[in-house]
Amino acid sequence: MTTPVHFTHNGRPVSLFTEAGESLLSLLRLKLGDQTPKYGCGQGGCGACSVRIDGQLRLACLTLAETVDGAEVETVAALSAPNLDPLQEAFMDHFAAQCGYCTPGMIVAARTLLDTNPRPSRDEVIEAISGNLCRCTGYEPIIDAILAVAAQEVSA
Amino acid sequence: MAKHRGRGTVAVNYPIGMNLGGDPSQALVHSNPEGQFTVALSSIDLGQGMKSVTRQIAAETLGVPVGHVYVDTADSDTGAQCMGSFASRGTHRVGNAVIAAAKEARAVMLAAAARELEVNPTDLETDGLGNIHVKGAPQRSVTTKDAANAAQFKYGESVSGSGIFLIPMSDVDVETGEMNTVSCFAHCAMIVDLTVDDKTGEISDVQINSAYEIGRALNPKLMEQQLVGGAWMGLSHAAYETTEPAYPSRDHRPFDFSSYVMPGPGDLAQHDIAILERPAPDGPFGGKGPGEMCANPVLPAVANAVFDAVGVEIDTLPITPERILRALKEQRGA
Amino acid sequence: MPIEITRTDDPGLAARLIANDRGAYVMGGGTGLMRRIHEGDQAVRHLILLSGPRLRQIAPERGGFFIGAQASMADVLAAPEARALHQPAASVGAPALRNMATVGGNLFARPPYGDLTTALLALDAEAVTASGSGEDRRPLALLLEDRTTRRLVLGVFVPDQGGARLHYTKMTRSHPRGASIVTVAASLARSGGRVTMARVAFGGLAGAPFRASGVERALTGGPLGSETIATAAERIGDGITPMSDALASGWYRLEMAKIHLRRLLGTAQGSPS
Repeated sequence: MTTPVHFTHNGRPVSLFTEAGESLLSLLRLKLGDQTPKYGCGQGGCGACSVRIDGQLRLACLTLAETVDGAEVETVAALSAPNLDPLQEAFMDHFAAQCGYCTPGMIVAARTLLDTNPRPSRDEVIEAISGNLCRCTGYEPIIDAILAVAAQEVSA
Repeated sequence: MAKHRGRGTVAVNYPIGMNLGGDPSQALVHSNPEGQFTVALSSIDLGQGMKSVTRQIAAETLGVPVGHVYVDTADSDTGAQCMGSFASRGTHRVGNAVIAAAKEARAVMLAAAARELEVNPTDLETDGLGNIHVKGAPQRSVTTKDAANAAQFKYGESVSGSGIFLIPMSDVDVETGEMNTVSCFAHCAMIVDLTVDDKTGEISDVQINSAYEIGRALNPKLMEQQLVGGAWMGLSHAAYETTEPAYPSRDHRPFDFSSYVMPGPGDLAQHDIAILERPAPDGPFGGKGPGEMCANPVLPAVANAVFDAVGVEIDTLPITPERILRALKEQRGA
Repeated sequence: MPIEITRTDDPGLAARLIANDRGAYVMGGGTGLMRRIHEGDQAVRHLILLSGPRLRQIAPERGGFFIGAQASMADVLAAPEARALHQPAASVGAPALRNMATVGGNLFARPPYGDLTTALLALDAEAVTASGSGEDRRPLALLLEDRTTRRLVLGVFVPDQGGARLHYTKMTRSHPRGASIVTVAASLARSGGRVTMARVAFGGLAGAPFRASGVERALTGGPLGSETIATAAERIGDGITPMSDALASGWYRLEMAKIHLRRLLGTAQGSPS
């Protein structure tokens, strides 16, 4: 059973068919070719597939594709056009990625935090990324990068 | 509730690489006509920074900007044989192979430049910015791009090189059992301070102070990142994660990333690191390898700190709150 | 096997579908069902996408307030009416998950999950279920005990607490997020220095969240002294089998339940009644 679904993907209207039971993540990666959200666990435990749906942080792997009909879906790819998001720059400056698998989800989660809370405390940053697992960095450089962007955006 | 502070220390001599019938790695380097170099490795970058470090090593040896070097890893179809990314051997073994290969390619490039400038190759030097000039006469210069182009289009020379680095197998002395297993050791000393709650067995407020002797930090930021992240993983192995929490029973295996326990961003240890540099005589630009040594010392240091805090020796990993509490109850019962 | 999907705004239809087919499930936030689909669980054959304003409503109702089954943890946190549930809702998952996980889903979450449900038990909440074309209410504890009858949960009703206050704590291995080793929710009313009413529920401890009647009896009638609390803590294990999993053994969970009940009520001692 296929169902038509219409939504905007990073600002661009798209229409396609989804299979019954298909996740938004599979739609994005396999049918739209946007491979920035990653498939980590498929259980909601790693945050590698974090995207924004109507501005709200969500897990693409646990989102039934046809439920995004009419919604605005944003992946990390939306943040890097035309220029890199300051968070992406800061992640590079702070060496906040090693293998890089968690990075897209981490940046979407961090951007969502800063959009709603431009001056987060360290604990608020920790809370905001607590659903995004990183196994390489020990989180420290990630937290530093996010706090650095917050300081820079508030003073700007 | 009583909380107890404890301190554990550890010192490590860490052998770089291994000795099982010899320990070789290879590298291939070639330039395109634009003077852009490709380093082909079958070695794998698994996040530790092998690509970055071999790129720096190749650029330094070739005498070209880092931006002129591309490193292609992890393909055994296009890269020559490598034993693998393990035993903290990547920088040391692969780095040396890259130096050997890059030296060969550099010699071809300099020979072409010498013919262009009508001088002897031994009179030439590179400035690391993409130029080759005559020593003492920087105005007599040719770009590495033009040299590479001339080699291929005018002189029919391949600007390329292959390199291998081998630590040969060391036989065991039948009389003494002695063998020379490795050529190079890295070192670490670590102090872990932590607090144990004697009612729950939980560990908190972990503070790590460490000193690592790693030969030379070829990329200091990468080095620091690897040491911080590696120590975090060491803490995870010490106190949190296991696939067999109820070993040897197969029951109660983890079924997701909540039940496969790992420390979260709220469980970070404050970690102060001192990096000591004693260049290794046989290391690439003196570099050794911090790989596994960044994680390993945390395990005994945590065990020692728990013993210092509450007097129980936990000899099974991970040192979970439950294991600490059971040991405490036995201790009180005894 | 292909999955069937039904979209409807008719609770009666959804109720009939799930009552007649054990492979049919009403979709909440997807945190339980999508996960089971990824894990290859063939028991999930039919997803029902039920919509309707009532399902996401959080609003006062006579004698208390109602929370729709499809309200997310984030919705609960944004609703002043549901203030009593803010701490428990905030202890569920991480931000992305809280935007998705629903109150209805939490009632049926795989143990040791179900922290909000634990708090709802201590608040004496009722399950609001579909009945014919109308609604029915039954104590939440009864709904949780009877797992054989498949009812459509439209939401929960939380009665006014009068003078009672909810005390809540959740112990995890990793921080700030993790699955429960034990979750304790205790609603206490006090008068004249005595505990006049105690409802105490535990999550993570023994499969589904449950009310501990032995603990409640031990706490009721006297002052909230250290001795009373200690006696009550010894009643936690009555009639239950603590669960063992990768996080902790049943032994450790029960030990931690005692410790955390004592710590929680120890703080309650000093707080205004």
